[in-house]
Amino acid sequence: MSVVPSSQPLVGAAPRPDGILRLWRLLRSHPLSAACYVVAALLWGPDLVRWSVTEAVFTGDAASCRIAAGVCWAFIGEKSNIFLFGLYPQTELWRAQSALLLLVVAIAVSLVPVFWRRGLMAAWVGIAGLIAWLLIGGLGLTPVSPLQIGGLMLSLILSASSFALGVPLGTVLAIGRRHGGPVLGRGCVAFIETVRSIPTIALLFMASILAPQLLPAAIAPSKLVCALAVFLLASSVYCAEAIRGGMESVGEGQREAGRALGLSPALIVALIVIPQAMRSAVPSLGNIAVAFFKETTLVGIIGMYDFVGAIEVSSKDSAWLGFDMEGYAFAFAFYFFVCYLMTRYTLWIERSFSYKA
Amino acid sequence: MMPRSAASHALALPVLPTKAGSRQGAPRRAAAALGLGAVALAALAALSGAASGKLPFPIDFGFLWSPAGFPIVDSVLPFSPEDSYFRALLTGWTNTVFVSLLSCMLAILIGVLLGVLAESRVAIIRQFIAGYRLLFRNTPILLQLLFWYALLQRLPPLRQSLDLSGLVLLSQKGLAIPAPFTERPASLGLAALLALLLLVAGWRGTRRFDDAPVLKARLRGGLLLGCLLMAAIGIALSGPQWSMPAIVGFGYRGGAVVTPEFAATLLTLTLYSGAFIAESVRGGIASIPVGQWDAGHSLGLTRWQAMRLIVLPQIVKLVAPPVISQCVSTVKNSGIAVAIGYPELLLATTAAISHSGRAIECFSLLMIGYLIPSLALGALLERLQKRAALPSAPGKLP
Repeated sequence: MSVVPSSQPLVGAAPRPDGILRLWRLLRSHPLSAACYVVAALLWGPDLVRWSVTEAVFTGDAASCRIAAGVCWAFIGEKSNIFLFGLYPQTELWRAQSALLLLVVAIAVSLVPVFWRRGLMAAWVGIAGLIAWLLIGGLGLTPVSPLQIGGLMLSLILSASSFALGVPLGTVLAIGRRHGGPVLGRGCVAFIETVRSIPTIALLFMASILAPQLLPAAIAPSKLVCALAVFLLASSVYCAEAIRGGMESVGEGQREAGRALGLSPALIVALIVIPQAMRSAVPSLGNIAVAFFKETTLVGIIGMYDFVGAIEVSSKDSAWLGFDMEGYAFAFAFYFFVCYLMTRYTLWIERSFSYKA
Repeated sequence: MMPRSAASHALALPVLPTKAGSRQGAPRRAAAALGLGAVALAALAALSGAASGKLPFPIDFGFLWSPAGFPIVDSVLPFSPEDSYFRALLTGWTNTVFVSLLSCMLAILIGVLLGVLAESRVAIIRQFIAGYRLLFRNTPILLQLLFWYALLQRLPPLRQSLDLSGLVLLSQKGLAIPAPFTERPASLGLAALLALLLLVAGWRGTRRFDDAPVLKARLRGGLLLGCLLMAAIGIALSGPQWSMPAIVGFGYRGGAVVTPEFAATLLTLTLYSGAFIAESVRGGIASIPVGQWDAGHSLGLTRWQAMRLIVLPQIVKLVAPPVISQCVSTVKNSGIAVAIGYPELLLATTAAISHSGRAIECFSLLMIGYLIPSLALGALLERLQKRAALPSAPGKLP
């Protein structure tokens, strides 16, 4: 009977097997847990299968869903357009669909390190412009109010743009805080601490209520722009803290080496400190990305319909009342899946690009 | 002429300015934040004056003392629509602090328990805790709040309240329990205050017996008993009575009501923060060298005794900073209760704005309201760090 915590393998132990052999080893070494799983599967397994597959309704209308005893998957199928695109006008749906496809493909391509070159930034500027034109209209396409953009489309736009622009802005803030001299440095500190103390939702309310009051009517921004500005501000502040942590972890010797080479302080920061700081800050930045993907749900409170807002609105449809639990389960599964993948990706990046200690 | 010291013969390194960082103290950051706030307020005043063409001094806090005109039902402080706007914001702030404090304490309890169990030898417990952590950390907190609220709305409606043993009523509108009240609150308050003062003064007084621990423990025990006795006498003298809940009209009358909004907010914040705290505690326990466990084993301690006596006291220092920052996050996250209508500070502020039209003043009070708890917790953390002589980050030189 050892007091060693069980997750730490003993030195010299055999390597852990994979696949089905691991499952067998697990069952054999933890008979109590295995017994619990087997009993649970026998007790609830058939009921679970019956409820979610056999008696579930996959296609049909609300009436057939109410008769059936199982899950109403048809609700999700019926409302999938609202979940994905919010209240976008049905006639122009092809624009939202192509914009979403473009955004997802662009994000997927940007995740692969092979494509990390200068051209990618120029491509993103072009893609952002293209998506904005597709969604809002203007030259050649009928204009659509930005308030009608919703669903997953909105969540992705908000989180991608806030994180993508937040990292460079956060870098500027972090550098300003550290190297800005007495006035600018303290100003950056005050700014960062103030914005960090206030919840994002309060910032959203402030922006949506104060912007029409303070700015003249001609340039008063829509709620979408307000939300974008607030998320950008908040993510730049959090990224500034993460990058400051990274900068502090770069050893003083690196700066002295730069000085010995005759570099000015600005070049030291740009060429020596920031590249190393970024690598150290990857875990924190990954956490920030995941957190902001989850925070985009807050726009539902200022009246925009993001993914969760679209699910709420769909479940209040009078024809489909009473299926809100299916909607919530779908939202839970979706966010869990995506955030889990994001954290795995962050771990992979950290492993591939960190310096071996 | 003083000889130049050895240090000045070294390379003339660029002198980086003093970092106004985490070790420089909460008071300096507070001053900086408030200074920035004042500047921003003045700028906004000038802007809004320019935009609306009025005088550039529209900031007027005088409206705070006029009657609010909107009700706040579910709150710690009693509030009626004739009370002032200031009292409305104060009520909202008290609600925020109350629900955040309670959920922080519960989250720490849950987090420590689950963090300790996360390394259990029973695989199924480990897997369940890992599943709980994964689920509650990877889903948005607003979604969790809406889910719990929807679940609580499945309770029976008011007219068909569940009647548990005649004393407690449970329905969609909340859980109504009998509440004690007194007709002589002054005597109760006086007795409680006296007991508290005696306790605090006596506790510090027993410090002089630090070198006689048994005597100190006995003195402190006696002191505690004495103060409890005093409080009990005060309660008895003030003539306590019970107010029973009953269904009257569209709600409960009498007793204390735990509303579903409060319950959903508390549950969400507790479970969400608990997952993060469990992860911190688990990481803290995993960072304790195996030698500590072996030492416990060689002394004949069981695994649980080794955990309690050797490992946990060591991780308190490591885990305090992330736990306190999670408490700060909890205070900020309490803002989501706006979505279900629990009257915390943000909802009170938006109601005040829609009734008075004074957006800038109300928002500045909102910012101060959120700054106070986060700065207080930051100061607490600095005090703990100084006391325990922690480095500012694990593994770094102070």
